[in-house]
Amino acid sequence: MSFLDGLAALAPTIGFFVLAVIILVSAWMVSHARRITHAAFFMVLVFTGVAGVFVLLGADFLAGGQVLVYVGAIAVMFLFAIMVSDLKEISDAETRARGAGTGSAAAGGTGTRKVWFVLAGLVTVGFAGLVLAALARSGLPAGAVGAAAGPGTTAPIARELFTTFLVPFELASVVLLVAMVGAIVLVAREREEEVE
Amino acid sequence: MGSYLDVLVFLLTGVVFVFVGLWAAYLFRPHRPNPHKLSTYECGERPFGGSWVKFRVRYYIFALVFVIFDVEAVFLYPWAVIYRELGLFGLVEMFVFLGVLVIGLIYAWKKKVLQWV
Amino acid sequence: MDWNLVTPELIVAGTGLAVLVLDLFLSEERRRSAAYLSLAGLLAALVASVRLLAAGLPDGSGAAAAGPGAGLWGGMLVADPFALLVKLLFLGIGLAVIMLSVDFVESRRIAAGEYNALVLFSVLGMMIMAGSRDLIVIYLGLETTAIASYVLAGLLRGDARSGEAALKYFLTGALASAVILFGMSLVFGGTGSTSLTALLAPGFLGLSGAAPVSGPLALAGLVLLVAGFGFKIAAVPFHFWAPDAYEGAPTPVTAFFSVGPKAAAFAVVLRVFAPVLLLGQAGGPPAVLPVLFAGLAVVTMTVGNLVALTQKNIKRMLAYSSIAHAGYMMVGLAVATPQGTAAVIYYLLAYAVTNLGVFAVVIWLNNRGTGDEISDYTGLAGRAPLAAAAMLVCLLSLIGIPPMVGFFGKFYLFMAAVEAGMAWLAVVMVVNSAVSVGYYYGIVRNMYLQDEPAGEAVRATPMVGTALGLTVAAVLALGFLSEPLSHLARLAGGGL
Repeated sequence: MSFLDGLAALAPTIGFFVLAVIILVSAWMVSHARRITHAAFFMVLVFTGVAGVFVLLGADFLAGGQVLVYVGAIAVMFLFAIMVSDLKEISDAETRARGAGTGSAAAGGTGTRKVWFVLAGLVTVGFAGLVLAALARSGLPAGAVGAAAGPGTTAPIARELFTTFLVPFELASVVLLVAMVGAIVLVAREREEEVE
Repeated sequence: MGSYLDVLVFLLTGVVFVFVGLWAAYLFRPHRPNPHKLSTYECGERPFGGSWVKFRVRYYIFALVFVIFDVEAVFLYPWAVIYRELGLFGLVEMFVFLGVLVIGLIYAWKKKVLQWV
Repeated sequence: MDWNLVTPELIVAGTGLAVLVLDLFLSEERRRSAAYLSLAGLLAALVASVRLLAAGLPDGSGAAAAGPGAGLWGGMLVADPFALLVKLLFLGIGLAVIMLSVDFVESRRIAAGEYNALVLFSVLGMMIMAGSRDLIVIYLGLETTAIASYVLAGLLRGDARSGEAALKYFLTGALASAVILFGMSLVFGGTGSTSLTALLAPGFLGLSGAAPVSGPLALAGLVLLVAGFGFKIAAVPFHFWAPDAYEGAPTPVTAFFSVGPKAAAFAVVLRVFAPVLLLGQAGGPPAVLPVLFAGLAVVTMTVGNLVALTQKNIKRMLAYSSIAHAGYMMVGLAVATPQGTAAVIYYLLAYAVTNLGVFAVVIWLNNRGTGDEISDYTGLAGRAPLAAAAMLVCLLSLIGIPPMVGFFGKFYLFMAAVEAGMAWLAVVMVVNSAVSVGYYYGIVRNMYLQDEPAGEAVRATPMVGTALGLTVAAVLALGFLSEPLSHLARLAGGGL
């Protein structure tokens, strides 16, 4: 086996770890970026990275949907949300809070925050351990693994979606309608108040 | 997996194209800034105010409606792929799906949230 | 495939769409027709469900008589006695809530068409949650209900607390949905199927070494589902959102939250867990689940009752009372017997009827300008003797005094606990009921025993009056009908 063949065989693994690093670093940046627009763009990077993982898993339809919905629509919605909110107010309040943070009052706050941080970490690690242990003990059922193999997942997914999962598919339209009406009725109310 | 190589090549070409272009321009362009040149270009008008203004809430609705119909598009795509297999049954079920969403569109229309301005 | 079995859902969905469209073309002064159309649709669906239930009972000979498996599209939707019974409850809740809200919606300038359509879609989601054996369908039903509920909570114009309620409800609800979805994905990962029946494969969840597929993974998923649905039914420690959401939401919506989505979440919990818990004979249920439910039950009822004692606002008090009642109901899950399951179903009916009655009085007074503080109920017996009497009946039912329906609800739970050898749990329940007398009696004392600052009489509007009359009649009648009703509950629980 030549060096290039070896590299090609390793490519998915390398790709996964590259994507994993991109996703984790971006996710960290989402919560730690100083500007909210930067956080939004890092979130786009997280979504894209996840789409990449889907590609590596052979779930090409899922990857396409991820890009179309999350990178395309959800990210746009976030940016619009940032546009319509009064950012100046937020950043002023934040600055004031930071100024107060030097006082002794905030010291207790950071203490509790640390406790929560450690607790959250412990729960995460514990749960991940549990799932991994369960997997190690009994492995995935055959069906779940088989689905990932083979090229072109769109047609098989479509066949399932429009026959076996007909009820959920039609229900999805109701969920979308409720979400749309709900969003409009809440936001339109704001608009009327603006006019008044 | 092979077809993804093309995607990767496209992706890398795109990124490289942008950065090489910017870098080349940086090498060759003259660098003589003055206050007029550095001011924000606003269609020839004299710029006023900051760029961080609050937009009106109603623009948000466009984004929301866009999300809904984007999700709809995700459903339409696999449907189109196997449309011939499904036949009339597929046509009916997709029209029921679309019909419900069309009611949402009529709602948005009558509530005048689709008007720009 | 029998379309007959889904007529109730189709009627409700169709009415929801019709109300939404109709409202766009109605003039401002005819907005009430949205409510009337909704009531008609719910009533039609109710009749259809009753007919299906009657046909599905053992002495009937209808399509649903084929047994618990009677369903459409391979269990995506099922119309077994449990689903139909719970659907009746949901439709009744929808009817009561819309009747209670007609005047409220008008006087607070809430968008009537959207309001009624959202209530209808929410009821539709609840019906679908209860009537499915597929995780994906259950999740979509849950989301339909949840999204409609978030919006309903925020419909009050220019009320910051309503917005706060909507936001808090949305954030915790979205978190809960994420947890539920993660749990479902683990169950799917463990079983390789989205169908609930896959969980019941012999020895699957028994955690014996011979488990052919990954039982532990599915068990982890089930525990996550408990946590996620714990949010939805506001079980301690997942309850913190409830008081704020209940207080800030429009009062009829609060009435809806306290019985509707909560009952639907319980229905799903029963649908998912009752068969798993009842595996006892077949190979032993995973021991962790009954213990989990018992712990949740004790903590939930105790915290709910103790905190309710300190409340000054009646909506907040009812929120904590609702938390406490969720705790009682979890006793029926903890005992892991068919009796326990039947007792939970009966309690769901009893609690929904009673709590709607209490809220009917609150809305009656609220429409007439009375505030939501418990002190505002001082001397109510003088101003509105009927409202006070109705409130008294419902509060007695909530405490669990015979012959009200609430007593029988608690009685069956108590008996189920004793029979299952968990007498300590029954004792905790009784002690908690005694504690709850403290805050319910506070209202009774204010209504009857305090001298009032001579207010003028408060009259009910026809809609609210009718709804109140119906619920109070149900509180009394269902108490007397406890025997056939519990039989029905056992039958429904048996079909799970």
